[in-house]
Amino acid sequence: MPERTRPAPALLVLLLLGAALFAAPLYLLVSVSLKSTLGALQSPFSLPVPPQWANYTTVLSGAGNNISIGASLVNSVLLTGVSCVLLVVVGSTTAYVLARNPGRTSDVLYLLTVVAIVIPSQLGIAPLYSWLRELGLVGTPVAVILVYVFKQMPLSIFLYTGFFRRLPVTYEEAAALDGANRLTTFVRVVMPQMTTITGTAILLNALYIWNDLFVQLVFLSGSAFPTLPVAIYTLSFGEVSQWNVIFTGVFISLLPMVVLYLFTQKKMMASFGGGLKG
Amino acid sequence: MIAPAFGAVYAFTDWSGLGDLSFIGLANFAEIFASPAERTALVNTLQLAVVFVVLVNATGLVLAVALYRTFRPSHALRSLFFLPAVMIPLSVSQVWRFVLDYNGPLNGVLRVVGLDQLTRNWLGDVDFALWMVLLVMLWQYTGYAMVIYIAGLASISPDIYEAGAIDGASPWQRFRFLTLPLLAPSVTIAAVLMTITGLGTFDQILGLTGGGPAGATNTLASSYYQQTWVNGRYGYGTALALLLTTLVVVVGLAQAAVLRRQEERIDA
Repeated sequence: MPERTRPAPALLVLLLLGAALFAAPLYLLVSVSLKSTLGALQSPFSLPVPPQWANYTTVLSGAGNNISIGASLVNSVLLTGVSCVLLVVVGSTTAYVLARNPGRTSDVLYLLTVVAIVIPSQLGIAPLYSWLRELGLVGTPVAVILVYVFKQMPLSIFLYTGFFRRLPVTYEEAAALDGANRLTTFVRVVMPQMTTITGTAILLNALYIWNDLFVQLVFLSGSAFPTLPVAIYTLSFGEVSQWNVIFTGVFISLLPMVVLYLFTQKKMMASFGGGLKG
Repeated sequence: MIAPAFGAVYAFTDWSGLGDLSFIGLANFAEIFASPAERTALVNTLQLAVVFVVLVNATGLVLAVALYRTFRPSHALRSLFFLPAVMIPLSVSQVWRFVLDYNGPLNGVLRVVGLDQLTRNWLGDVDFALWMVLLVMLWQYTGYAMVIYIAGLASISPDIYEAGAIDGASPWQRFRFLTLPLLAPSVTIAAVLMTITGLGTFDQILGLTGGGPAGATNTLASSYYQQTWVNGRYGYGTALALLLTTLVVVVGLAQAAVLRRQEERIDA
C-alpha cells in the first residue's frame, strides 16, 4: 500500500489547476446543455440561469428534428445488453473447451484469438456487410449484435482462457464424482468462481460497444434502429450551431456510462489498468 | 477470423459492393500510393499515432506518479482524469467542436486576455486541425494511460524505495533508476494499446473535422470509411483497411518485441 503523504503545496496547486482546466469542457457540457441557443454562444461560461429544462424534453422526444435521443438510448441499451450477455455465454464456454482440452489445436486457436484482438474492425466489415445484406439483416439490431459478438469474441475468449487455465480441476472432478454432468458442473461449479473476470469482460465489452461509432454507422445509419452514436452524429451535423440542443443530446448519451463508472470505479479502473490481463 | 480473411481478399479486387468482381492484382495499392490524398492520410495516421503515443504516455505517467500516493483529493483527481475514457468518443468530439469553434469559448478566452492575434478557426485551419484532433485524443485517453501506470506502480514493493532512500538516492534518481525500470511491463502495455488506438483514429476525425479542411485531417481509417461506405468502392476501400491492419499488426508486434527485450535487459 502506498503511504499517506502530503504532497508539496506547489505540486498540489499545479494538480488542482490542471484538474480545473481538464474539467472545463465537462462544465461547458452541462451548462451549455441547459442554455438557450443564443446564451450558449454569448456567454458559454456563465451559469445556466434559469436552466432550460425544455432542451431535455425536446431532445429526448425528438420533436422538431425527428431524431429521438430517448428512442436511441433504449436501442443502445438493448444492443449493448444483448451483445454482452451473448459474449459472456459464448466466450466462456469456448474458452472453457480450449482450456480443458490442451493440445496443439487448442494452442493454435488461442494464438489466433490473440492476433484477432488487434485486427481493426474495418478489415472484416465489408464481407460481413454483404453476407448480412443477403440475409436481409442490414439496418436491424440483429446484424449489429452479430458483428459485435464476432468482433469482441476473441477478447472474451482470451480473458476467460487465462483464468480457466489457472483454475484447479479438483472442484470439477469432485462435481463429476457427485454425478453432475459437464454442463451442470460448468454452470454451477466453474462459473461462480469466475465472477471477477466475468465482471471485467462485461465492462470492457459494454464500454466498447456502447462507445463505438464505426460499426453502428455502417449498419444502422438511416435505419429504423438508430443507436446513440448514430443519433448523435445525425443531430450534430443536422442542427448546425444549435449547440445547446447538441450538448443536451451529448449529455444524455454520456450519462449511462458515467453513472455506471461512478458505481464501479474501482472495478473499471482495475479492468483497464490491467491492460488485457483482466 | 474468417471475415477479415475475406476482407483481405477483397483488397485485390475491384468489387463495388454489388455484382461481379474481378481480381486486379495490386492495382488498388498502386492507386493508393499514387494518390496525394491517400498519401496525406497515411502520413497523418503515422504522425498522429507517434505524437499521440509519446504524449499520452508521458502525461499518463506524470499523473500516475503524482496521484499514486494517497492524499486528500488524490482519489477524486484520479476519478476525474479517467472519466473521459468511459465516454463516447463521438460525443466528446462534439464538446470540443464547440470549444474550438471560431465563435466558441477558446477564442472567447483568448480575446478576453488580449491575445486576439492567436484566435483562429482551430478546426478549419490546415496547419492546426490535425493537432486539435490530437488534443482531443489526449484529453480522452490520458486517464487510461494513467490507470495502467498506477496499476504498475502498485505492484512495486515499497521496500525497494526504502533501500533506495537509505542509499541516498534523490527523488529523481529513485524515479529514473528504480521506478521506471520496474514499470517496464506497464510501458509495454500502454505503448502498444495507445499505438493501436492512435493508428485507428476514426471517431474523432468524423466528429471534429470530417477529414477536412480539404482532406488535411484524413487518416487511413477515415479515408477507408469515405471510400468504402460513401463512395461505394469496396475493393479499393478494403485495400486501405488492409494497409491499416498491416500497420497495426506489424507496428504492434514490433513494439511489443522491442519493449519486451528491454524488459528482459532490465531484469538481468
